[in-house]
Formats: sequence, C-alpha cells, structure tokens
Amino acid sequence: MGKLGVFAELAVLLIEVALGISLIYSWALLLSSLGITCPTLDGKLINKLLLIPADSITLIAISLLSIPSLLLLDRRIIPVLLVPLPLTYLGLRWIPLLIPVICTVLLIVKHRQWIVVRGLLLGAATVSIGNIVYTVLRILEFTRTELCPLPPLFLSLYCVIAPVIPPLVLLFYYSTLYPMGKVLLEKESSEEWEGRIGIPSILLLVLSVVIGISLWYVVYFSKLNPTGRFIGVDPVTRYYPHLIKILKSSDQLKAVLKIGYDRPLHYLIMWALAQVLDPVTTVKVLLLICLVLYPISVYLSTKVLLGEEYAGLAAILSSISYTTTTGIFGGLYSNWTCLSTSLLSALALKKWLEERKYWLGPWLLATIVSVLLHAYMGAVLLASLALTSLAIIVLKKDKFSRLNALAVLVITILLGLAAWILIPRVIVGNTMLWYRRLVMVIRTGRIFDGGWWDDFSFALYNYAATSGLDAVGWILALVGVLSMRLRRVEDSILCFWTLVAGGLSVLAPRNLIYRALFDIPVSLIETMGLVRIVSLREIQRFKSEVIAAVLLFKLSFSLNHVVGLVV
Amino acid sequence: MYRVALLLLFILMVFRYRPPMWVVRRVEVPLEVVDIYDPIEVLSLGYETAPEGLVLRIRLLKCYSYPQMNTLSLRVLFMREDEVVSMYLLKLELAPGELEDVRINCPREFDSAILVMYSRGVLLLNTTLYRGSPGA
Repeated sequence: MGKLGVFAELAVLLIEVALGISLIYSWALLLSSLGITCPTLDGKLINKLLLIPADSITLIAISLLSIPSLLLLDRRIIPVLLVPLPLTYLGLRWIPLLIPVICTVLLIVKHRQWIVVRGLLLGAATVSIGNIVYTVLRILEFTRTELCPLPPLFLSLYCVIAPVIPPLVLLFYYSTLYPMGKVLLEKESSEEWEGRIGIPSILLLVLSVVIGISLWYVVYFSKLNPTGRFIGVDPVTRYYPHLIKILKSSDQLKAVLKIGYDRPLHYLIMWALAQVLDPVTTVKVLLLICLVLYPISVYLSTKVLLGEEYAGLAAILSSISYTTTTGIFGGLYSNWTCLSTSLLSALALKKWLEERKYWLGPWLLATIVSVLLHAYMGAVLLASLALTSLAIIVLKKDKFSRLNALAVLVITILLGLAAWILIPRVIVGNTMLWYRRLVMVIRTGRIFDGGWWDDFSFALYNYAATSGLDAVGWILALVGVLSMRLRRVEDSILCFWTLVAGGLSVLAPRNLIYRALFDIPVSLIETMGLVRIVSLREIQRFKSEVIAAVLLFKLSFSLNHVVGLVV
Repeated sequence: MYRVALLLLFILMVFRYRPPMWVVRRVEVPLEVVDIYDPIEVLSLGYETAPEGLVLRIRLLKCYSYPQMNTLSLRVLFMREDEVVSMYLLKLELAPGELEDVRINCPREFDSAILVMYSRGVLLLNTTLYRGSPGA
C-alpha cells in the first residue's frame, strides 16, 4: 500500500469516527432532553443524569463533525446543510442535531450504510476510551473539566437497555433450550466459524493479567481508598473475621475445617497465606489471586475448548466480565477461585472424552479441588458434568466417547454422594432449599409473576449493584448460547452449566439469585458469541471495529463499576 | 415449530415484567441553564410551604467535573435581627450526575437564612436568602 493509500485510509477512518461521535452526541442530547437517567454505582446506587454541553457553539461543532462523511458521498450537498446552521443562534437549537441524522439517512439511502455502522462502532470505541481516560484521571485525582462530557456520553450507549436487562438475562438462561431442541429435532450444522482476531493470544493474556492487577491496585492502593479499607461484602463479613477467629484458636487447622466447613481448601489457602502475611494483607491478596488466576484459567480452558486463536480474547473478556465486577462487589473469592478450577475440570473432561490418554486423573483432581474450594459451586459443577455426560451418551454414536462419558457420569454421581455425606450442611441444606422452592412453584404455580420479577430485578439492579447492566456482555452470551451445538463436547459442557446455574437462579430466593448467576463461566460463552458475530459474512468487514468496540465498552464499564464501588 | 413454541413461552414468561420504578425514573433538567463545568450547580433555592410548615428547599446537581469534590458541607444559619435562631450542618455525598433535593424545616421566627457550602475547602455557595423571596 502506498503512502497516499495509508493517508486516504486514515482520513476515511477519521471521517467515520467523527460521524460516530456526532451521532452519539445527538443521541445523548435527545436522551438528556427526555430526562432519561442511568442506574449506576458511584459510591452508592444512583440514577445518573446525562449532562452534556448544549450551548450553540458546541452543538454547531458537533454537527460539523458529521459533515465530512458527505465527502464520501457527494460534496455538493455540504453547502446546503451548512446554510441553516447560523439559525442556531436564533434559538433553533435542534437544527445542528438534525445534520448528523440527515447525513446518516443520505448515506443509508445511497447504500453506504457500512460508513454509518463503522462510524457508530468507532464512535462507541472512542467514547469508551474517553471514559476510561476520565476514570483513570479520577483514580489519580487529576481530573480535567474538558473530559466531563465523556462519562454521560458513555452512559448514553447503554442506558436505554438498562430497564430490559432482567428479561435479557432470563432470555440468556432460557435460550439453552434452543440448542437442545435443535439437536433433537433438526440436523445440526457442522460449519466451523472463523473469527480470528489477529492479535497474539498470549499478548491478550498478559494484558488481561495486567488489567486484573490494575483493578487490585484501584481497589486497595489508589487514592480512592487512602485508608486501604476492605472493599466488597465477604472480606468484611466473612474472610477477615473468620481468619482472626482461626488465628486465635488453639488448634488452627481444626478451626480451618470447622469454620470453613463449606470451603475447606480455600480457608486452608487463606490460613497458609496468613502464616507469612498479616491478616489484612492476606484477605487483600485473596482478591489478587482471583484476578490473576481467573484469566489464566479461562485462557487455558478456552485454548482446549474453543481453540487457541480465541483463548486470548476469552482471557481479556474474563478480566472485564460480570464475574470480575460481581466478584469484587460481593468479595466472592472462594466462588471465584472455584470457578477457575472448575474451568480446568471442564478442560480436562473434554480431553478425557475426546482423547482419553491420561486425562481422567487431572479431571478428577480438578473436580475434587473445585468441590473442596467451594462445596456449593462444586455441586453445580458436578450436576453440569453429569448432565453433559448423559447428553454425550445419548447423542454420540461412537462407543469410545459413550464409554468415557459413562465413566464420568458414574464418577460425578459418586463424588456427589461423597460430598453429600462429608459436607451435609451445605450440599443437603442447599438441595433441600431448592427442592422446597421447586415444590412451592409446582404447587402454587407462582413464577414469573410480578413478585418473582421484583426479586429478579432486585438481584440484578441492587444486589450486584448494577454490575449486571453490562448489556453487551449479556447480548454476546445470548448469541453464544444460541450458536451452541450440543454434539460438540465443549458446547454441551457450557450449555448444561448455564442450564443448571440458570435453573437455580430462577428458583432461588431473592438473596441467592445473583450468586447462582455468578456460577456461570460467562466470559467463555461471551467469547463464543463474539466469535459467532464476527464470523457472520455481513459483519466480517467490521470485524476489528466490532471487537474493539466490545472490548473497550466492557473495559470502560468494568472500570467505572470498580471505581464506583471504591469511592 | 419448537422455535415458535419457545418464543411463545418466553413471551408468557416476560409478560408480567415491569421495570422497577426507580430504574425508569426521568428527571428533566434544562441543559441550557446548567454550567456543567462547575463542580456543583444550584438549580433552585427558595422557600416553599409544605404540610410541615415553611421549608427551605435546595436543588443541587453534582456535575461530572471535579469528582473528587463529591462530599459537600452545607451550613444553614437561620437569622432573626442579626441573631442566629437555628443552625443546620449537613454533610452530603453526591456522585457525578446526581440530583439532590435538600429540604430543611424552617424555624417559626426568622427573617433570613445564610447558606454556605464548601467542598474540600473550596467555597461553592455563599448567599443570604430573605424570608418572603420565593426563590433564587
């Protein structure tokens, strides 16, 4: 490509970015004038107003940003659009806002809609970068007033979807029935999707670990938390008081098993750390372990389950996913560590079912470790694996896979029974709780009524304090589930995992709904969805823009949420 | 056919869904009167008659600029013939983009209220509101 080619491409890129920003600004101004607010966590749960400058000069400047896009269409239209702009000073403030809309309509009519789509994607990415810069400067207490229109512009990207997030999450659970119906009633397609992203996976893994460490820094060492107080629910209510109690006991190892009866291995790790660190640092390090271990575990499992080319993408999505934001909010360190080892169990299961070799031992080890890290989440894993092996026995035709799956089914049942006997308080208690909930629903038929929706909405808006409002994440996860093919072992594992955790979430009492949602390795499913979207023929020309917009949006959303939690 | 059945079932499931009222709350603020580059914008300030008596009402808006100035100290001195008859000290936590209505019950006998608002040592408001003035 010659020098002129590079400059021409850069010019087109800038024109598209300008058009995108202009459209997003007009959209934000429309929402603002309608009084639309966005639920956000910022020290507390609030509805944020979208405040952006609406003076004549800014409005004209924003409208002028969209004008260059007409150079790609017909430059003779430009003067016609510029003529009415001075009327803005006479009070006709809606005129500048119409110009980006007119440019968009003209581009669509002239079949140049790809300019609009690329512009919107690049505009969303730019606004997300702006919000990340604003948030980073906020963390450093070095804010610039010039950047203050950027956060409301970012909120305008998703605030209208916020009221429909609960049905979207329910649809995500519910959509697991679709691949099940497809495998039973239709012929599954064997087409492979190609969604290569062109960035080395290992680089993205390093980036995801860096993001994890940075979030830890923001939570405990930034100027936002000068006293280094504990952030999240469980560090305050569970880990720190329990650790002190263990350290004060005469027989500390016995105390570990007694106090941490439902997560003995995690408490053992915490106690071991406390032998070299002080109790406060120990609890803080538990978060760091999660933030580093989870992307690595997602990377390794995606490499085996979905393919090496997607492993880096999944790792980076994992560090900016619902798991991370809710994990920090709830301080669900045992659950989070268990989710990481559960993914290793899924990895080993796929290897065992398809290659056999020596993978039964590693699978068994990872599964037992998961159960010992968090008995309840371990039980969810066992149930998912049992259903997966059942599905493979039914769906697969080769004897080799069916026998392996049968072995897995028998072992998971035995492990479940062992957990039932050894950790009855959790396994039996939880089983009976959900059984009673199920019986109540069957008897009364009261589900998906107003009261149920109130609880479900409360879990998404209040308990996890808006971390569930990551609309992009849920849409990707939904597409991921819809594109699953159950004859593939990896899809089966993820589908039944979602089904089990989703089913528990639907039946859960109010305070356990978001905990059940946390059990799903959502970043893997999001990766599947993103790969499916960018592999569509119509989307392939915007592949880089889609990936950039998604990653930057999610990074901005997660950083916003963590900062809102700490301040 | 099963796709239609799944779709119908889902419609039945979400039929009763209503978003929580606070999530869909709308607050209209005329943007042309707000200087969004200020740390705090006092949208309205004045007395109003309420069932509990005369109330001093301040409508504050925290803009997105200077998010480190989210903690506000508000002092209200109710005066009568240059003597303090009642005093309120309020500490408010406002996040960027948050709108807050502060309502303070007025004493029976007073002729003016002095309002002073600080954040991190920066004076944000210093005004006297005389009784009888409907609003500022």
